Amino acid sequence: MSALELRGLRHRYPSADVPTLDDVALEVASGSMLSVVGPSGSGKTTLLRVTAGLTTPDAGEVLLDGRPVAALPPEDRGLTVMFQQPHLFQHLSVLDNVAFGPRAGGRSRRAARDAARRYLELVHLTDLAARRPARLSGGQQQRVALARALATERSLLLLDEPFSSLDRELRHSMHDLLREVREALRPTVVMVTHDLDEASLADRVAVLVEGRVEQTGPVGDLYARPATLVVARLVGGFNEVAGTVEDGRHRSAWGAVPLSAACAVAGPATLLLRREQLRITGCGSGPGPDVSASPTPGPVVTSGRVVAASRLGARQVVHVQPDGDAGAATPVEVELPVGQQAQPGLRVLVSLVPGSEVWAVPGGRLPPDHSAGRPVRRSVLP
Amino acid sequence: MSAVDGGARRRRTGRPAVHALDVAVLAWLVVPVLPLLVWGAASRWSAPAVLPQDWGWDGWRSAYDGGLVPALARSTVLGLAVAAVATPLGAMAGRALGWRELRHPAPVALVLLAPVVLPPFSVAMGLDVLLLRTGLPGPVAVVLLLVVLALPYTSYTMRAAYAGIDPELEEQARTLGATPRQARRRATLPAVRLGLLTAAGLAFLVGWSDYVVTLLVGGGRLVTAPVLVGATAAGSGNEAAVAALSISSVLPLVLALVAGAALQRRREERA
Repeated sequence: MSALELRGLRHRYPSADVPTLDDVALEVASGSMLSVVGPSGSGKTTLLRVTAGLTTPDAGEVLLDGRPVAALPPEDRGLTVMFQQPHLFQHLSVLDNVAFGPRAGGRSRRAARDAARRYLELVHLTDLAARRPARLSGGQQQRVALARALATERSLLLLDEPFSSLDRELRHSMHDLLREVREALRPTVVMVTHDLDEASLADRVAVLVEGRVEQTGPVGDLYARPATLVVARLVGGFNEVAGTVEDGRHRSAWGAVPLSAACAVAGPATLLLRREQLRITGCGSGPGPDVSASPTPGPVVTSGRVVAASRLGARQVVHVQPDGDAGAATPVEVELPVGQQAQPGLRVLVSLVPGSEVWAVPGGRLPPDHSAGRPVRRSVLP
Repeated sequence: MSAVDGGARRRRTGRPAVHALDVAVLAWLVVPVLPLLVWGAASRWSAPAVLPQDWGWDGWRSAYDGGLVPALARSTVLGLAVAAVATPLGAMAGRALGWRELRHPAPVALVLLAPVVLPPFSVAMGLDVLLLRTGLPGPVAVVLLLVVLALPYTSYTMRAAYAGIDPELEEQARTLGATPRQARRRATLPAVRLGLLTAAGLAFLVGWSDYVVTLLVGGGRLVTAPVLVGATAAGSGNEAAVAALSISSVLPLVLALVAGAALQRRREERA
């Protein structure tokens, strides 16, 4: 049985033109973790608030352990929420903050504090039990907030971008802590985030765009097999080529590219090639001797000239303007292997890395930075 | 000079300026009371003498004989009653305004501000006419009218207090298992406690220091400290007694300021 099931959830704020949630259906298995990702304003937080009972939906059902909870207030739903801000109670010590849930649940002060000490130990903050929240760092405050949520001993933990206000290092340390907590307690977790790195902590990811679930599945699927162009753009790092799919091949100005057997698309479709799926080979003219003139490693998809180069960590990303009919297209982005580099002006062949899973999504080209009528923020790369 | 040295120097040079400000504020409060203090300890002080010709406690004796203690007690009860009603009402209004829970906040804000915008005499007279027809006992009517006059202070103080905290704080408490009442009592109210204390203090002072409403609605039967001061000043010509009564009326304000400063210091030390 699912720990959480959402059925046909609809919600529209009175002043909004479009629904915040539009027929949302999701299931989360007991003990598993689901990340909900989407651009700003896609309805992620509303989804969490409706689940928690803090916002009333216009239609639909929320089931916890198979039990409808629409009529129950937040405190009786058997779940807890960790918000983006830690919202620690400033008049209480760290220990009493963590003991808040057990106390509200009817335990004696002593029993609640005993429970709180166990959860403070879990988040490695036992020595700060007597401190006031105002004297903690941002990371410590989030640890206390996590301990406080866990101390309620409720089976479902809802996390609303809880680490987004932390710096990169602290965020990673909180990710490690969340892994530890999941390992130790096996709670069911739903986490809202706009960071795909963070989303990959979960067993499954749901992509929410304009209140609709565009795709659910393991995070790897978003990179390898996005369901729609909107999802692909949310993930980022794809080259888009408009064309048509016939007989398992995508035909465009780039020629006929065989698609993955799992790609069941026909008719007008957009070919999606991740930039790390492509390689360039120098044609022997122009500057840039660093690119070898060896034979292409896989089938050539287009030829062109390097027009720009940028860095992505240790790797270089080059922008290749295709020749001929494909020249009108936007430049192709290619992520080079570590150590390889190319200079603007170099003529190159762009080929597929052998064994690449080539994917296409239904529909033709959308305007750049367009996601069902709303600009999409390009997300963090894998 | 390093940035640290510069900061330390700024702090050092800043201190005398802060002290000067403290002294100026203290002088602003104390200077009007100084002549009263001297008068309270004088038996005879005729112009143009700079200091009294005779010292003594005649003024305090006259004030005591004239009913100072019962008047102070009535003022205290009146102030507490006004604070007890106006503070929770102000907290409710302040929450609705500060957390934007109202669909049309402007009319509510206007109604709450009306007693401050309109002349107090007009408000008191108008409401007195209404209350007289309800047959309410005089002291109850006085308290109700003073609550109306105190509401702008309590509601706007609480509006600022609520605006300073995130409504998610109360939602957080609910999702940790607290009922709405528990969430308010254990999460929200402690977060706005300084605002509550300030609002209660202001409401108390509205009740304590009122003259117009108590005289008009109380019909002279409810003799509070300000009413006694007014009557003594107008009728007796005993300046020493007036001084003693006035000093007694200022006392709660001084206590409130000292308590407020102590609370603020404690809060800063905790932070």
